[in-house]
Amino acid sequence: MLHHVLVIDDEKEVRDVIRLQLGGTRYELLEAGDGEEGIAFLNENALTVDVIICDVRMPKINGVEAVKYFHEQYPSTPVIVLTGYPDVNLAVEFMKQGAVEYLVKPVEKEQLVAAVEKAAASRTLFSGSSGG
Amino acid sequence: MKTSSSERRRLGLRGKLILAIFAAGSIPIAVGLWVAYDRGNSQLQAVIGDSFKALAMNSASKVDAEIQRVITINRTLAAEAAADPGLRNALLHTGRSPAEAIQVDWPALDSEDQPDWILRASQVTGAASGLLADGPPSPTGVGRVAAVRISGLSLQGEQQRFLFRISTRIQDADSGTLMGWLHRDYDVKNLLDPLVYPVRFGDTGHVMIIDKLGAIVSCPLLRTGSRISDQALVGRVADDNEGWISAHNDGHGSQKFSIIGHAPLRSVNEILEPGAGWYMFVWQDSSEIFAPTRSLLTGVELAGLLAIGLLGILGLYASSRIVKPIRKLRQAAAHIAGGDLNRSPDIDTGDEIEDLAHEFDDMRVQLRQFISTLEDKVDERTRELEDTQAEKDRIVEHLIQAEKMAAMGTMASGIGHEINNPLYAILGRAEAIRDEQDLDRCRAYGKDIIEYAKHIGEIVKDLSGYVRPGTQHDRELVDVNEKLSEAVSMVEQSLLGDGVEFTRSLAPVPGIAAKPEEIRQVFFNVIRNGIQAMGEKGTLDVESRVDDGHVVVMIRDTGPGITKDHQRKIFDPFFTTKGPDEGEGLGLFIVQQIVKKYDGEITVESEHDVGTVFSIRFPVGERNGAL
Repeated sequence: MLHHVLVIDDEKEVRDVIRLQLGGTRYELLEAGDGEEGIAFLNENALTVDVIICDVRMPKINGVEAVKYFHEQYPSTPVIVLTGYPDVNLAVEFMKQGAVEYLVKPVEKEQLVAAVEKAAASRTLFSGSSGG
Repeated sequence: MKTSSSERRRLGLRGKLILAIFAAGSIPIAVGLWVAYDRGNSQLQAVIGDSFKALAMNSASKVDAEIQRVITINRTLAAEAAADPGLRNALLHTGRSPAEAIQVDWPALDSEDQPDWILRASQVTGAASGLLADGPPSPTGVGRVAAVRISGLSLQGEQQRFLFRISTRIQDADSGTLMGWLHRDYDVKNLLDPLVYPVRFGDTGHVMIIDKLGAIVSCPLLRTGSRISDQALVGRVADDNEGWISAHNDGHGSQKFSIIGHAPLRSVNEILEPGAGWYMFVWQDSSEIFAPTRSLLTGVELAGLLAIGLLGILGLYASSRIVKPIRKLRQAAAHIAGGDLNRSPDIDTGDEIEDLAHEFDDMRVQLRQFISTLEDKVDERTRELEDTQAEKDRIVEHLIQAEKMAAMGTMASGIGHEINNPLYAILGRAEAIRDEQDLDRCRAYGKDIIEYAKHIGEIVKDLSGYVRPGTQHDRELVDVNEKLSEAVSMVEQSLLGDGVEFTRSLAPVPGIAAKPEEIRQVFFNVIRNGIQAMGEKGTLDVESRVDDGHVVVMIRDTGPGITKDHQRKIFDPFFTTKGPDEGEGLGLFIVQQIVKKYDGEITVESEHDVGTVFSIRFPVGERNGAL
């Protein structure tokens, strides 16, 4: 089964690396350049997106606000925070906002794949339980 | 204050003491003297007045008796005349006017017993003589009054003598029928003066007879017939009751205070012509009367003056006994006030003042000990304070260092973000190379990796300026605009989003003498504070300019503003409005410490819902001196 992963990051190089790391797996990547774009995309394709990978530092709507929004509007969609800030306080904050994982760049391929897998599994579980 | 109290003090302690002793001694003396004098004087007046009254009564009785004796002689003569046939015939049968004197040849009238005081030979007039018509009918009809009349004084003759006439009734022995009058004129000088003149006492004391109108009848000092000028005095002494008076008139032409005794000549006044009256008057010169009291008073006055003089000397002595040691005490107090605590007051009076001096000296000794201890304590506290200040400086320095490290941490996060992205790109590509079989792709990844590595190198190169170790302890000329821009960049890198718009208006400014990293930290802390206050949304404006020898930096945010109450506290250490994990409340305290260190000034102005402006002023640095 093909999972749809929405990558929200203002740096194209980051989106490219994620595409490299998740390439050849059972994930299809969807991309957004900032928080605002990501929210707009999700609002239109909520059912399509299985996992969100979200950056923190972004123009317009930053990661903190975006994650908060996703958790409030789409609590069943798991969010992985991928950031350049190795900040414990920030990590705790995201966990409170409902993020399932907090990863610090640079993250290894296996680690990212595992995180997405785990998130997708929780999404499936959630969908399954809500569905059945 | 000392001068004004001296000016206010008009009378010293010594003067007051003398005055008090003087007043306490001399007032009773003066009052006692006056009372004694006054009482003695009035008692003396009463004694003298009574004596004068008695003398007047006595003298009046004598004159009364003498006149009575003369009247008795005249009555005898009148009886003889009535019995004389020749005279009787002449009186009863004469055809001449009754008033005309009958010249009779009557041996009795020329008898040898004719006293020399009879001025003029006796004469007889008829029954119808005017004498009877002159006076009112006697209320008793017959009797002594009707039988004898005395006329007032009259001036007569070439010798200018004052005469008075005694007229005696000649009547029939059997029927009592009036036949005529026997008139005899008497010279005052001869009859009264011998009775009045001898009564003298002292140098000026004498008696005199005056009539009701104040005319002198007989007086050893005043001429008969002259008048007492003061009619008021006459009215008081021409009294039908004897007595004495005091008056400011002596009746002898002086206004001196006088005591006058007076008594009526009762027998004479009964037969004196109507409206007339004679009075005895006793007088003595007041200076003579009061001479004894005067001398007594003089003696008492002298004694009083002597007593007052003695009191004065006593006052001087007492005051010097009291004031002298007090002055010494004052001098000792002045020495202490002047800081000389080693002089002991030398007072040996053996009284309370000496006790006071001992107490005072004990105080001085205690004060000296106390001051000596105090000085030691002050030295000790000064040293402690210096140590405390050094400790405080050390702590502040430490805090500044710690804050700098915290800022570095924030910046490190920013650097991390900058570096981690290309690093992630490198990692991803390295992983791809590891798993890739196609050489061309591997080469392309390798090329990308080289680019990203170079990019990281650039970033590190850019950031190395910030991380230059702050080990230099010397001040240098700092470019404020450069540090402001660095601070903005550091804050910018730590922001999560782009909610904050940064604006800059930097004018060319001279350098300030400071440690560069500390100046950057000041700006960083203030800017970070503003952005936190805005919740990372709004505009942050930095401005620099030169103003009156100072470089001024203004940092404005568009946050909610700071309340007046908080404005007073924001520079206090540990004051914070943030949550427990958001800061220790030391940021602005450290800012103020650094600004003060460089003789600068930081102020804050804030308006609710508009924003806050921090204004930081640093003196322009001396190019030569600073470096």
